[in-house]
Amino acid sequence: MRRFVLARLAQAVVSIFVLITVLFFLVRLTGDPVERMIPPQVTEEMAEELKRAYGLDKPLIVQYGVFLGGLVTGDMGTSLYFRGRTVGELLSLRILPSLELSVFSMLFSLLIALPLGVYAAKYRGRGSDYVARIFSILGGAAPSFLVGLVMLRIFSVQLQWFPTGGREGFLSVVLPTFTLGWFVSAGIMRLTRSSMLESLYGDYVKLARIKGVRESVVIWKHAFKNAALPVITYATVIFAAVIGGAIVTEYVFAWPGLGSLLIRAVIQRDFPVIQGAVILIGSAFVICNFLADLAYAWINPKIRYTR
Amino acid sequence: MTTSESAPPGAPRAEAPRVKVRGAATTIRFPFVSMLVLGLVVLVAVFAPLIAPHDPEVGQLSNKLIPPVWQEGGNSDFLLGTDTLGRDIFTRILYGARVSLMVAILATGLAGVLGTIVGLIAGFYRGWVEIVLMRITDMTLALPLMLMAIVLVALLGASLTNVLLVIVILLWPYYARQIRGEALAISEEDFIDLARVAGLSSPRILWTHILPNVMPTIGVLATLQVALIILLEASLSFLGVGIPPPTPAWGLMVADGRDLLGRAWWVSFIPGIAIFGVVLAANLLGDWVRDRFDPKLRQL
Amino acid sequence: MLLEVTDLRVQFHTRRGVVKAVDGVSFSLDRGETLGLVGESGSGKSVSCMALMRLVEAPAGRIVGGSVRLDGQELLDLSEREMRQIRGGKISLILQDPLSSLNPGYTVGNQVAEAIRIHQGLRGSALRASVVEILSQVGIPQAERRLKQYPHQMSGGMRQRVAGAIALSCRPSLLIADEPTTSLDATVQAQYLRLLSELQEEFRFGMIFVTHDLGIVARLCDRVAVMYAGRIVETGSTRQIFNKPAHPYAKALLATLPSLESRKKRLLTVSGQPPLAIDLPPGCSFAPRCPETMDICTEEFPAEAITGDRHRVLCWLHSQAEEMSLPVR
Repeated sequence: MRRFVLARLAQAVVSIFVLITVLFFLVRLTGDPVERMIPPQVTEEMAEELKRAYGLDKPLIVQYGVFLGGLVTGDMGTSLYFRGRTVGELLSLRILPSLELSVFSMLFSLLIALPLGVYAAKYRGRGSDYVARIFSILGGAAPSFLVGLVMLRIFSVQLQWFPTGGREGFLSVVLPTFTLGWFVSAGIMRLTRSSMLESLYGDYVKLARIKGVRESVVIWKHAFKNAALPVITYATVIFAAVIGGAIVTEYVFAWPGLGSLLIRAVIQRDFPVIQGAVILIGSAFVICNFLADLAYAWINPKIRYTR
Repeated sequence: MTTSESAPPGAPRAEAPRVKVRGAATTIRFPFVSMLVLGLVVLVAVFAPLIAPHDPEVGQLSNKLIPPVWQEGGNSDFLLGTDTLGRDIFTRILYGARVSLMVAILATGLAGVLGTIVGLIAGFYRGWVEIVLMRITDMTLALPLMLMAIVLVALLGASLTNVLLVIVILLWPYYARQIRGEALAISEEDFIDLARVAGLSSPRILWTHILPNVMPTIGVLATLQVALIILLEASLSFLGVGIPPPTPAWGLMVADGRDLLGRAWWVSFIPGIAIFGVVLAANLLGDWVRDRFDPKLRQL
Repeated sequence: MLLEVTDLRVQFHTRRGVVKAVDGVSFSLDRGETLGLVGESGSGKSVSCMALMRLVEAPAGRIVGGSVRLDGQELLDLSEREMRQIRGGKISLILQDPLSSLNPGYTVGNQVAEAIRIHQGLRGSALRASVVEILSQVGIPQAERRLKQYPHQMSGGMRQRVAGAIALSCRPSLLIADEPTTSLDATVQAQYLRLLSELQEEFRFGMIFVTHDLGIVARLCDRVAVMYAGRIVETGSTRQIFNKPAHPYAKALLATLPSLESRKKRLLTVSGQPPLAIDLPPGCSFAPRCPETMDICTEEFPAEAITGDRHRVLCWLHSQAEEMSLPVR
């Protein structure tokens, strides 16, 4: 178990390192870094000065070293657009809203998808199964920006139940949560259903019934515990994807999270901020995947008790 | 089930034919409606210049924001209404189908070819080649798709070619991972040894013996990815890091109507529905193909 | 009689039609007695067993008729709630594969305790003591230490003992064993069968033993029921059936067994395929494979012939014999 954890941890660290490196060189090799880092309207002299200030006059490899050193101390440079504000500062303001939206969406989708998946499997081929499947098929095909806009049109513009964007009060969380959550729950529900189907027809479920166990206990204690294994792994992986997928939802609802910061930085060509946001979101993604592996190993006694 | 006649006496007899009444095998019916929808989209894309009543990229401002024909104020000249620049949405939907399909087909094809080559080589040659190729594959798979797509297109510059390029870069590892596993299994079978003994060169074995055996998997993966690619391209275009205006990409059209939700819902929703319909049809077709040809991939 | 099954019928509704998986099965069993249920796979043995516990998979499968009486109580009339008290309490079942029948997600102790908690309402240290006791009774050494183990940490033989412990934990009056030894190797199998016999001596439960292995039947069972296509085609004492089988199918089965003393595992091998139980033709379902077939066999279903004390055959050869022998009796 310990070797397994260490191996996966090393893998995650390497992934993050590769992400940072690739990003660093991509930003500098896909275009003139000077032009990118320094707004075009400044004069030649000022540009030279800024170049020195940003360290852009040094060889690339030295710049890379400085960049890595900065990352270690949490210094990711300053924003080109918001003068005088550090990337770290901008990012830290956005982490909480992003986390909030991700967690809410995840909870919402689990709350919907798990019971739906379980009962769809239990009543396979009957009414509730079809409802669940339609729910998941639609959720998997509807682009989240469309769902978001339709929600806005109906509930914010027409009915005026919810604000049209931003993050003020509990009401503003509802629509983004639903939009992101539906998308996520489609996959979870599908997996729960197929996983439950497998375990519901397993011999250990038969044995539980033979023992005289109540049907609800058969389903949730015996069948679900084993069916949950791939689902929990998937949910953790999906949580990572939520952090990425939230970008579109945040943008639609003007949610002040990392995603909308990233899009704004992209539009404003604010490269230090792009770098910072990608490193942060990407690392969160990799770490979630690492945790998914751990969760899988921990729940599955077969892995937990070897090594 | 015919073994009992040919089996030697005393051998355990084959399991009696059982009628399957339970288990996880749900067979999906052939998705006629999906095929119909996709067929229609292909036709529309091919013949867009013939069907389209207006210019897709130029409109007259005097015609701006005309509602669809069934709404009050609608105009039969503009079946699905017009956008802020007075361009006919019906025409733009038709041309938009071209963009979506082109990206979907080219990206699927290129990612499939690249991923298959990498997968075959890794699975067949083994050794350090495999290690290096699979490390790259795993690294790419370890990155968040949407985030990387946004950043790469932003860095390279928003254009049709770059969108294509980025999608291919991000999606080939899915093929490579799957194909490598199968190539590995196949290269351990007896007929590959026979081919080697017969003096066939390695590339020849790869081409004539292994490739045909992984073709079904490639086909299934490709069908499954079409919907994903359409969705990805639409999202990128919607965010403004995809296909640049004035090209009529569906995602871009949705973005056009973002601020008009109250006044002119059709500007966003009609292209949105087009994306939704095509993705839904492609998904259903993909599910069917996967179930029909490769149940191993069920978890994908 | 401990158990009396009369005319039990189970049907499965499939896309291809109605499958009569169990089509009029009748037998009876005393306390302390063992009935061997033999037949090819698909002949309806396992479905019959599950039907006794009313665990036929809904909605496809349904018990459509008959009667199951345990100690005189009609099980088919009980409510689901009352039936749960019977399951695991009065009737237990050991499944074929001990690995897949134990839940991989719970400790052995937890799984053995579950039935005891449900049926005897024990909690805490009393429950624990009871679990340890039954585990020791099925011959698991150091039972105390095994409680916290997971199924995958045990050997196949140990797992099957655990399955046995679960089945016997509430002192059932009827134990059904559905091919419990097929997945075990020969020595472990012999030990397990000996254990079952000993436990039966001790607890006096009636046992239905489903198997392919006629060698086991010969050693373990008092009586035998031969199933074919959802029906019991012949039933009688083990001695009767092994010495003088009446039904051609039973004869064919026994012909594959060279001698009773042979300890070698014999699988049932009879030439031809068992019929699919959909749209069975009129007449005897064994007729297409039967070496002694007559005209009437393909036209009409044979009436049951009672040819001796608790010995019954479903075959035209004996239906006639019965009429002829009537005056003699």
